[in-house]
Amino acid sequence: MKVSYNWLKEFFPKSSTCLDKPEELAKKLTNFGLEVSNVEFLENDTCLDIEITANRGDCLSHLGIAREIAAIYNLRLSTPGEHLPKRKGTEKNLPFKIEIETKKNKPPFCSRYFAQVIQGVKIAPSPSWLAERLSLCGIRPINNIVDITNYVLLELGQPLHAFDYQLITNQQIIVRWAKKGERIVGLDEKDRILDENIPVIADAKRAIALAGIIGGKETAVSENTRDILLESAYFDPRAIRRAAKKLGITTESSYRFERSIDWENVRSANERAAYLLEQMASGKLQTKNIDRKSRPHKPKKVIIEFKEVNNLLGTKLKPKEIVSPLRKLGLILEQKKNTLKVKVPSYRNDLSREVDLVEEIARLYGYENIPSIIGSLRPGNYFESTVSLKEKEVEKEIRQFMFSSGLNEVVNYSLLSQDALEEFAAFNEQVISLRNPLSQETAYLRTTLLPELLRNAIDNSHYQIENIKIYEIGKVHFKEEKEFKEEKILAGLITGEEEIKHWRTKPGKIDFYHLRGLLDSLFLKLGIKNYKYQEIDIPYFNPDKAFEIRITEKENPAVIGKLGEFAYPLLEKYEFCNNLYLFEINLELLANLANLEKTYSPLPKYPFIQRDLSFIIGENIYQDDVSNLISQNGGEYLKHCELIDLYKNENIPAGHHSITYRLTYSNPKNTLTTEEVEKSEEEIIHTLEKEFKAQIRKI
Amino acid sequence: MNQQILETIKKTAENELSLVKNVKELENWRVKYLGRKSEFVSIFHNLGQLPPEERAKIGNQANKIKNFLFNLFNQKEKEIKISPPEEKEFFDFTLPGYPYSVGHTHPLTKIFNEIITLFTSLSFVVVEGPEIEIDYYNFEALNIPQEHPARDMQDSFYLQTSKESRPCAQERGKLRAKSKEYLLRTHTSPVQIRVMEKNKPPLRVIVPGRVFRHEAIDASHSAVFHQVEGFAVDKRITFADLKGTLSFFVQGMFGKKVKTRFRPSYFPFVEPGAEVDISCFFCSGKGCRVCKHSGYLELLGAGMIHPNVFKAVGYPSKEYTGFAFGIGVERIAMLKYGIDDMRLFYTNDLRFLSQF
Repeated sequence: MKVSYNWLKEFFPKSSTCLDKPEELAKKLTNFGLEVSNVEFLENDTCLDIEITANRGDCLSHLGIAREIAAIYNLRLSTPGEHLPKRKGTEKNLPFKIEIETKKNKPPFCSRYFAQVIQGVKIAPSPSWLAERLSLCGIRPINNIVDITNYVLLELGQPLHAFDYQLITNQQIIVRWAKKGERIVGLDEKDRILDENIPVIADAKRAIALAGIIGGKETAVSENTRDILLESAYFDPRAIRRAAKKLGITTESSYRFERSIDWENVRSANERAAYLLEQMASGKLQTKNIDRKSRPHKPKKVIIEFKEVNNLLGTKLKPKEIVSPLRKLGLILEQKKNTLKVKVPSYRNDLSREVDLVEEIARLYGYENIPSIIGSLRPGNYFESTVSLKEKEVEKEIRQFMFSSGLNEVVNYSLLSQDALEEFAAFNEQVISLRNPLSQETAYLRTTLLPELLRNAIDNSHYQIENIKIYEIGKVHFKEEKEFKEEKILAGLITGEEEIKHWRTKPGKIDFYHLRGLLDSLFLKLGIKNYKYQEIDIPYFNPDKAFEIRITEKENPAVIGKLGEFAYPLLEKYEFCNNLYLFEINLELLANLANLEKTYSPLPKYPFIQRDLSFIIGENIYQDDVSNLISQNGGEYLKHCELIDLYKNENIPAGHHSITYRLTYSNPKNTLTTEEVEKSEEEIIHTLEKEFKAQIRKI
Repeated sequence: MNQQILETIKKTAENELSLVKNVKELENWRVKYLGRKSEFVSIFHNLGQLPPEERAKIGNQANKIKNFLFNLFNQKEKEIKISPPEEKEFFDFTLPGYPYSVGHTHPLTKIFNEIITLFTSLSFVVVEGPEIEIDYYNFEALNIPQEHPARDMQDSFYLQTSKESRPCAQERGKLRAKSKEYLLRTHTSPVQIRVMEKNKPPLRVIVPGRVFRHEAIDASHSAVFHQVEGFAVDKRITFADLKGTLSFFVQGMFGKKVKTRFRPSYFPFVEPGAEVDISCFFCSGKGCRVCKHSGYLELLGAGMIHPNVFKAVGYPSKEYTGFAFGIGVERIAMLKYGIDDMRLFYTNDLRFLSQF
């Protein structure tokens, strides 16, 4: 809220010199919980922009801020309108009626309604000092009548409304819920259709104001207005908020009603405005006014235990030190030996419990004066959290692996467009949509991380970056059997050249084997052994380069993810000049399968023997099958077999290529003999010849 | 002894030499073929037993082969033995070294890790919670009832639910008629409720996670961002403990010289509530553009857990006290790294990411 410094000073006529300069005052207010976000020096005044928290409706006026200042500086406050001169008013009363309608199964929304008629006002522009104050506070001056209601709103925090008395049908005010389909055109020229949950002020015929929100156009004060009916009321905060939200409108008035206003101030604020109308718009008061109360206002009483204050704050305050700050706030206190009974004034709607008053004590004592203690806490109980320790460990391991493999971590929004999901064949009945998205671009929760990784690659290629290696760990959301589910996913994308350029080497391009190698190494690091890549159809991958990752454990077979080469048509669509390789793995399943428990196995005592075997073999035979066969038939001393060469040349028959496996033998108990190795080699040669018609090549 | 044997020895030696990989193997080879006890030497020893015309011929051939192998040996030795170059050559050490490719951790992950490390050193336990929440956990149980103005501070994304949609089995019992609304959590605070419902004090917990607000995206606002919620509950936890804990955190994160300021503020689920500022480290508190000339930077919100929160989780009233705080991860990262546009965290420009 924007506040005038000069106006604030007027609340302290006897001690205005005690008040600090604006900047110093701003600091004190900020430390007191009224954060001053800006101080603006104007020609004749200074504007303080104060952020009022949602609980402090009472501070949405100069009076409210002045009360806080009075507490900080321990000053006496003088409220304008506190000592209005007694006025007689004219005997010639213009009649009017007020009715607060009650409905059986509807809660009342108005607990107090005060109105009076001011006769013979002369509409004119406001004096410049008043117009300037309104402008400083961000309210546009209109005419003296409207400006005075706004002035009192800013001064005392009570929203007021002036109706043109003559335009009220039968001079009858009915406070009621709107009828379904009822319409009203507001002062903002907007035509609104209402329903039974919108509180209105009506006359005998129609709604003439949205209660607590905005006046109606038809009964508004105009140049022709002579007599006005001035309304001030206490409306239920929830009812006003619900209606304002529903109608999509926030006004100075609704903002204050939502945050609760001062019940006791309803009448005095109206009288203050009437006094100003008399002074500045030649209005004449009349003796008759109406003050309808649906319930008496009972001041709240809160009991504080001195002990509790210190228990919560960690202080050692004496009763005296607790009592005096609360006095400064204008609370009425009744002190007993160990307790304090506090009568809360009607404007402090935020104070209803002991802790609320503890905060008030702390505010005045100064948060900076409360001690700062570390190390006195007992350690917390240990408990299994929603995410297992193992999953956290695996996640850590993965991040480390990705980092050292040269991948960059990315973080994306979780929100996607329909198009993005469709491109990855993921727009289906499982997708969760937002009821109130910011835009269609972000209308759905992601069920896959791949669209955003693709987006990252496209963006980076626009920055002329073509070597892209990225990964993300994030959540996806989806519906399953009518329940909302979320899962943690690991996904990545690699494209471009295989290594950073160096003058001595010529880098090749990243291809499928880089992708597979990345995952194989990751699985090795995580101790996952029983898995295979199985060809499947994935529309956004090229047909022969699309795979799912299958776990081959008998008791736990599962598909945990997929990998592949981005489809050519899409590659072309986004003008990539390199192939894109993508993978996506369910992190929770991966974490379950991972085996990070390490057991030591004794180091070999005897040297190992390495042999290389080369074959000519058909090129459409899967090397996975070949290496499996070698491992199965190599005998007990074959520890490891590794493909170290694969090539074709003119000496090799068409449809064939040459492969070389390096075999590693060792015997943990003895030195290996040449015979043992040769026996294994013969067995391997024999099996490969039989199974794959492979031909051994002599070097 | 005939010429063929010599040729075989030559071939085998040549073959074996080609497999030699290091100095040790080379020495073995030398001993085998050129050493004093080698076959060759024995040939020379036995030359005397041959007829004279053959003696000359074989001797001649053996010599040739010996020289040939000796040359091969010298050549191989040069290849594999690391030895100083014979002539001093110009060596340009300024040529670029081989670039090992290492990835980069996202700055938000770095900050998450730092926060977690600091609080786990104070024996806080790390817990996560769901991103899809129900109104009850996100608002009501945190003392933010329907139509509370504090809801303005946290505009939410609501989920489209079909009529049959229902909460997960474990939550079904909990829900009141009004609270069934599903939304993306607007803060990590609902995990307070989830943890306290299932566990008894003493508790010390931090909750890192992603949160969502219905806010247009600009340099200082984002619809998606990250928080670390923290809380401690026990008998006799005080505001002084909160101050101590957060001061420790601030100094751990920003250095010993940085001062922490607590001032009153309002969050419905705490009372007393506090806003925590740190002295501006760009200008050492003198006032600059970054701190808007106030000398302080807003850092996080905190306070003593509200009795209504304890009531919601069924803790007996007045038996426990506790504190809670919520740290904005982006906020910390922006301050720490001097980043002035929040969008940089999510556009994943590699020129940005590779700076971390």
